[in-house]
Amino acid sequence: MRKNKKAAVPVWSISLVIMTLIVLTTATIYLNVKVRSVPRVGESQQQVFETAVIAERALLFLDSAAFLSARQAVIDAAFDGGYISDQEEENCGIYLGFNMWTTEGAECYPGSENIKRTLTYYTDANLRKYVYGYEEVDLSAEYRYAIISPMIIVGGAVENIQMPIKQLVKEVKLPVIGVPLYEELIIQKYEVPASGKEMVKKIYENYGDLLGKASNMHGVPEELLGGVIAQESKGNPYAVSPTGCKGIAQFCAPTAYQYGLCDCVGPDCGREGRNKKYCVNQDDRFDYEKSIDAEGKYYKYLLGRFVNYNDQEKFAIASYNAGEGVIKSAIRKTGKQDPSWEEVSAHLTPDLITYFRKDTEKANKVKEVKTYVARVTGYKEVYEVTALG
Amino acid sequence: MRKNKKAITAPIVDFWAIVAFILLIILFYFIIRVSVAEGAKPMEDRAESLNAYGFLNSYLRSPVTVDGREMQISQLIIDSHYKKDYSALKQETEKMLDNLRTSVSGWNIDVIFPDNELSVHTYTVAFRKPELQATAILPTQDNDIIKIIVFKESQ
Repeated sequence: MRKNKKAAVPVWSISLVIMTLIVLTTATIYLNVKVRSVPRVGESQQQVFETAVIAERALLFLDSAAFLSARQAVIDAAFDGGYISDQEEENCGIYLGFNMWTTEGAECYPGSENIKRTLTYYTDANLRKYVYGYEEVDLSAEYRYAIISPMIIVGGAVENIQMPIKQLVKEVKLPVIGVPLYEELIIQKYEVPASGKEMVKKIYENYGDLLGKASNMHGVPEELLGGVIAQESKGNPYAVSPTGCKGIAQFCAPTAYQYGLCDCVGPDCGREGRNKKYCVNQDDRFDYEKSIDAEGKYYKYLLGRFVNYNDQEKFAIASYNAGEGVIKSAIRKTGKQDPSWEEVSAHLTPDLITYFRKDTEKANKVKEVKTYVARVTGYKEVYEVTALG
Repeated sequence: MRKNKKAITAPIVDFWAIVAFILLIILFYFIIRVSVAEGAKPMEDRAESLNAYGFLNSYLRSPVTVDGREMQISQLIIDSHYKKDYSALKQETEKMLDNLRTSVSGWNIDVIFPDNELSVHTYTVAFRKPELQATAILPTQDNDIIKIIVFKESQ
């Protein structure tokens, strides 16, 4: 028995040390886990402050970007003669890359409304370039602008720019930073300004009878013919475009020949080939009566080419500007039986424009077609209202 | 002999067991203390960083008048890069720091342009503690960025 008691003493001491080690290790691990898992006092408040710092930093960037954008917009607008690049159809054409204000009797000075629109357009386009590169907060909101004095542009986001409070809202992910493509900024719906409405009214007063006659003869809506004239020549029967299209309906030579406004001289007339010249002995494009009749005929043909589509009229308008082949190719690219104009215009890419060589010309034409359709549609609606009195 | 050996071994084991017990207590006391302190430390640093940002924001939003034009320092920074003339910025920044030096000493400002670095500070700093530093960026007209850093020298 004594032998057993003596042997038990070291076992007890060693057991005590081992037990202490286990208890303390467990306690330390538990405490560590608890310390880390329980939010520290002020943690949430700290996160709110940190989020406010991020927001403040983003706001500073946005302010600075807006300052730069507005300043650049003034330069851009001046460079483009008060118009939005070369997308504007109201200008007198482009010479050496600059929009002209006068061409052969036509006057196209940009009004104050035009300049305001151009400034806000460029401010927005420039701002988007800047905010696109800002990674900390998604700043790609919709912004609106107003010009409150000749040199002050003010703007603001349409809705609050939202950002989650760091860590507190773990399940909310910041949206991927994206910016609408420049092309998307092209006017989809054209709000005709007061000057445009006045111009359409004059067209109705001066040419309403002829437009009505062409409409009855060819079965084409009068307001469509009126809207096209407003867009093409502003009702000026002597308008000439930089590309050589002439008259109230701006017929270019080959189409003018097709619709009896011009003659053709050469062995290749009426077929493919370069050996021909148009409008040599006959050029009736400045004859507004004949031009309006030819416009009616041409639209009858174009509307007939898109008779199976719901957006028949918009396809015809786009074809008048870009050519029937281009629009048909864009329709095919959608892969749909009856695509909308929005779907077709999204598939209208520079590679479809085969009659220009330079990429910039092709890209500009694509932009022009999209804007053209919006504007003709806008003028058409105004003509309809005017005609109804 | 066997009996004697056992009698000596037991007290030695007891002694070392008590020593180990005390050492364990001391060791774990320090482990727990350090881990609790470590858990609390980043919070203080984060609060310091807020102070740094507060100073940076005040600096960038400070109104200044240059050539008769009223603007904020942030605009002056962008303009300086645009004109490649940094004298007004340096002058205005130094003026502002001089005004603040009595109450907010030790803050330094670096403005890093895409092609140039402009440091405006009171004295040379050996190294910067990240938690005593705040950064903001401003855009440039050529789609680059200007980085503005305020920092405090490490004590």
